[in-house]
Amino acid sequence: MNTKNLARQDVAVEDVEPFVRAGCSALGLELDEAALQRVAGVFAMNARIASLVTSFDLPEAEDPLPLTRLD
Amino acid sequence: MEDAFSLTRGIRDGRTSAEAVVRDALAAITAQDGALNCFTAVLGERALAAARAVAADRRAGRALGPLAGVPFAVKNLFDVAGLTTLAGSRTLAGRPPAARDATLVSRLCGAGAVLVGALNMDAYAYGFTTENSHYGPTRNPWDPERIAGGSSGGSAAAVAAGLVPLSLGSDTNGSIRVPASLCGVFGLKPTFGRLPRTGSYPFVADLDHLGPFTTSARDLAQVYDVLQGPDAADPACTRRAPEPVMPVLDDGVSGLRVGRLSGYFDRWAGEQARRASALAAQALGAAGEVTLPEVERARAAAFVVTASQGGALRLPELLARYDEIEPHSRDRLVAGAMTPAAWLVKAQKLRAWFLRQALAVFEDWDVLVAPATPVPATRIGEDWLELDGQRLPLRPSLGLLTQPISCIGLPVAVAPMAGLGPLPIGVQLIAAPWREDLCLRAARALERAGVARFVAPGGIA
Repeated sequence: MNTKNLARQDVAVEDVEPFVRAGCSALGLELDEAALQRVAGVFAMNARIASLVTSFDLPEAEDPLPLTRLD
Repeated sequence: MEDAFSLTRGIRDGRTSAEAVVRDALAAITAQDGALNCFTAVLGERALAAARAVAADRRAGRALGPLAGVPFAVKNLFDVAGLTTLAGSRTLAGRPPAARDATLVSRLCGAGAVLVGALNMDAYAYGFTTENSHYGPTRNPWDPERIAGGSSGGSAAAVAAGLVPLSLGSDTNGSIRVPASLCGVFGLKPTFGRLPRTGSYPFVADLDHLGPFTTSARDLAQVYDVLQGPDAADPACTRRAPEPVMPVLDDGVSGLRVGRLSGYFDRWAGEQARRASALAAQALGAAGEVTLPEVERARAAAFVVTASQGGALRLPELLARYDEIEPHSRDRLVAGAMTPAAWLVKAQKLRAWFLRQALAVFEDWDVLVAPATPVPATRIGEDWLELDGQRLPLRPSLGLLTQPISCIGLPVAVAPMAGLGPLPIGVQLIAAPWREDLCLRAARALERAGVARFVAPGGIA
């Protein structure tokens, strides 16, 4: 599975469903089918929003550390 | 209820007593909170004991604190000795009570303020509406059929309704600024790391801020000065010495370079929000419009960091008690917990890049003005919002204008704008890191000009 392919504006729920199933399994979450479909819907929305992040060309040297302090 | 400054002055002068003020607050809560649902706990005995201690200090001629006798309440993610810290969630209700007060609660009590209770919120602080399925929605004092905003909805509504003149909340993506705007009160989200979070229940460690709600800019500055100070127990908290704002609060905005944020901040603002921003900018003598680059991507970065860290933090509860978790956030937490690490790392890099762009803008500007929410309070249960010709999911979209700012930790004061419609709306007054003084001076200038002011619900917002 290539997660970069999920982070795109036109991603559909069925595109992310295999990843969500595998993710739930990896995390040990046993969800019924209805819950899994709801989560896939949310994940698809997250992926569309994340595409704005993943598609942006940042300078190579950009600091990968979170902004834990501003002082 | 008078503002905190006036109440304390009345207590000092002997025109009233701390006990009378606290009894009035407790009576107002009893009378009104059934309809509003701001409070999840009321601490009558503790409050009256603290009020009597203030009165005893006054009788004995001992120095009174700057907030002596002022009733206040806190979002129920703050630890309060003897209460279980709920963070809005039923899954936490079985935990033992907190052993001690959160640091900021202690600081307010140390200044003489009197804690009267804990306040409703979105579960885990993951929401902008305070439509809490387990503890009920908090209702907007302007219209009980409408949301108070969130996630600090109880904190804003309790102040707007006059139940307390001061409250504390938290803001990860807008949870102080959104309810302040929708309830028509003043709010402050300080610089990330300015105020210690010790003894508060976390949501997203990289984005969580704490701050106050009040009915005046003067109170906001006074309370902020009391809350400041380092705390080694919170690794994100600055070691800078406190930088009091009260001495400069009335310096005005003459000489300050004020700009109005346009572009993204106009696109996602409704008509009343745009008018609020324009009016505030005009009153502050704004010299022009300012655009920040890639704001939509910055908002997306905040969204990814929140989903990922928030979901990961809640994973043990998702595994053990999935069916008991707040339905409004349960699926979002699960989806967030499986965010690919590559997305999170890129989002963190983007935040660092966006901060540098914003700091460059602040070389030319001191205060930036933007709407706080796209629209005034919407109806409870509403799911969709129409903006810029698009139909958007309402709950996440209420933070469209706040998320890009908190994502890089900038300080923001929210001021309620007067006379723009039947429901209130606020503006964000934004400055460079550690310049809360500029945010608060701008809020005070708007208040003194009569452009921003607290209006008791029922009046003309």
